[in-house]
Amino acid sequence: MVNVELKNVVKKYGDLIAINNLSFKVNSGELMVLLGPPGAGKSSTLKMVAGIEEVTSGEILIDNESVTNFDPADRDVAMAFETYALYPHLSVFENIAFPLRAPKRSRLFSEEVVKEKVLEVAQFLEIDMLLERKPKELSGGQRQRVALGRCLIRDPKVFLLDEPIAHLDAKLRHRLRRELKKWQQRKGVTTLYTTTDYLEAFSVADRIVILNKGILQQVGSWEEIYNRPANTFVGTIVSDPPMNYFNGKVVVDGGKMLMQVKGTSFYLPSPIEEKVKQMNIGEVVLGVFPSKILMSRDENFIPGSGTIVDGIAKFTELRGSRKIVFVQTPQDLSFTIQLPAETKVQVGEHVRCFFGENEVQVFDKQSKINLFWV
Amino acid sequence: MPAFILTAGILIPFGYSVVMSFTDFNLTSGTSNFIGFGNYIKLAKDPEFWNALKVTILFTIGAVAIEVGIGFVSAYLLNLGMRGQKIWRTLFLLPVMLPPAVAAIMWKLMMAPIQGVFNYLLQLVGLPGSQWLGGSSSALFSVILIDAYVFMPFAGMIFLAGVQNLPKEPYEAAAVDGVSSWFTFRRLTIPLLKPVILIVLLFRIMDCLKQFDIVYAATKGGPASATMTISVQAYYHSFRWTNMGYAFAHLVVLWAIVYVLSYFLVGQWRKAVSEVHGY
Ligand SMILES: Nc1ncnc2c1ncn2[C@@H]1O[C@H](COP(=O)(O)OP(=O)(O)O)[C@@H](O)[C@H]1O
Ligand SMILES: [Mg+2]
Repeated sequence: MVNVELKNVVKKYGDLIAINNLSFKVNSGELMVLLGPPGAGKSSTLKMVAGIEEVTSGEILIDNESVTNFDPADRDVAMAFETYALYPHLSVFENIAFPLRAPKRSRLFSEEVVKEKVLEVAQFLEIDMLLERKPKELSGGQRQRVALGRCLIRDPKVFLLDEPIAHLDAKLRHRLRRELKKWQQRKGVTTLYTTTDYLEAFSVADRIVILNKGILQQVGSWEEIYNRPANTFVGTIVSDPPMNYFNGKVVVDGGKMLMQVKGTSFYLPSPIEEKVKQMNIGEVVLGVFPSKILMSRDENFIPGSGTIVDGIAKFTELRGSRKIVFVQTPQDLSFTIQLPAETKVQVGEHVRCFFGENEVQVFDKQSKINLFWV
Repeated sequence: MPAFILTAGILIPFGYSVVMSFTDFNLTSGTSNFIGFGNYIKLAKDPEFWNALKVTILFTIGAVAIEVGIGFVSAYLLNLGMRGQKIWRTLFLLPVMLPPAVAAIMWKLMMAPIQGVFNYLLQLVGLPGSQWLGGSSSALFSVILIDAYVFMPFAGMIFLAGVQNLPKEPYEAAAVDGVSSWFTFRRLTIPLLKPVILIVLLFRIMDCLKQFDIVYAATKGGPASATMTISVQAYYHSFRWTNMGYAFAHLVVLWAIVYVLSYFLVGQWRKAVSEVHGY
């Protein structure tokens, strides 16, 4: 089995620092997703692991061996390129078969076996009826699948999949993200997978690395990330609509610590109370995911320990199986809530919202770091 | 209208030549009678014409092979990004800036059997000198060398542009897949450069088939008829021997050959472009 490790990797393009001191480890057989907005440095990271881009400093290990100075060919990785990188003059079949025809592998695969393998991969990716076509005769989504096929046909130590399903239509994307995960588990190949879509990340990943501007933000399973986002950037990127944020002052009222903002007082979770006290923090940013706010039209609704906020549903929006409600209090505090689509809410209606004490994240105002992690 | 003028401008001299090739137009006597295919029948039986055709074809094959071969290798080397890249490129381009006839005279001096630089250099390394342009067996090779000197940089520069425009990513993909560089060269570089290679072939083959100036300046077609290309032969028939009708028949045959070949090459080029670029 094969693990992959990055140690203090830095990548500069001229003056631009694309990757800044990045370290993380991918365990054997694990599917690690790099999640981040465009420009975060995901492709650069994959290319450095592949050896197409040199590291400016730092080290890359595959199978506990430093490959930092290895040629791409000697690293035994397979990569699906974000930009496809197809061979324009070769048919889909020959594009996918290309890695098997390389002199060092061609002895291992007879023409029969090559055909069989190409067909298997092509059927998996639903491009088996396109095998005779040239790349120019394909749509973007079809090209992307050819690029993916050329990668999957190999049995490498590591798969590097750079936004491998970003350009497919929604249905196929949903099927493939399940199937890709299965394929990867069946082969047991350690995988680095990038995406800008947190839902895709959550559905395929064993663990996730969140990157922003070349800097690592958080590593963890999706539960770990969703339960305790490391900072406000993570809170924003792993939720749509993004996390609600409130800036406010910390006050102590009757032994309980509260944060006050626009006439509303939120209770802080007890582990945070201690830290705020110790560090003598006066102002914090409170964050709550829209999916973690409960709502009721019942005036007596009090589900547990937390904060009640009464407001008015300003407008609602249906998004697939979810309903997004924008709420505003008389003192102008506003936030979004995510509810099941069938929830009945009238625009202009009074609603009672409940912020559970432990669903609330508290961030330092300056550094935007989750105080839970401090 | 401009298209019409352009077409007329191209067609009138061509039509005139074709018409003249069916006459016995003679500059000395001033006669010009229609003689049907007379000139062409004469041509088919003329051993000098067949020799000229052979010389032209050998010249073209030799010159184009060297220009394309060395041009390709030079483009590859220039693309490596050595130190002093700019100087290399300028030096490389020098020969193209010379008028071919001037280059021919320059080489003629260097190839002189007694005082020439080449024989001097050969002698230095202990090799026997050559008659170069003066030898019936070495003359054709010598004019080929001159043409290669003048036009190799042209081929090289076009190849260099082609190499520099190669997409980077397929090479990255091939590198990750552990494909050897020779395999990459054969399966990727050559097919991707096919349009450029065909363009160079097209230009150089057409140009070589029509070769006149270098040969005329260097050997005037001699010794004997060792370097007598069709163009030079036609020139002798027309202005030296004033037999215009017969000279035009030579040119029309040459035109036909150039036309058929370029038609074929342009077709191949179109196909290659659509294969590589998809339009
Ligand atoms: N070859 C390059 N030359 C210069 N800058 C680059 C190059 N490749 C990427 N960058 C820059 O590095 C940063 C990270 O890019 P990239 O790794 O492609 O991010 P991502 O894949 O997450 O979108 C971006 O700011 C991008 O503009
Ligand atoms: Mg990218």
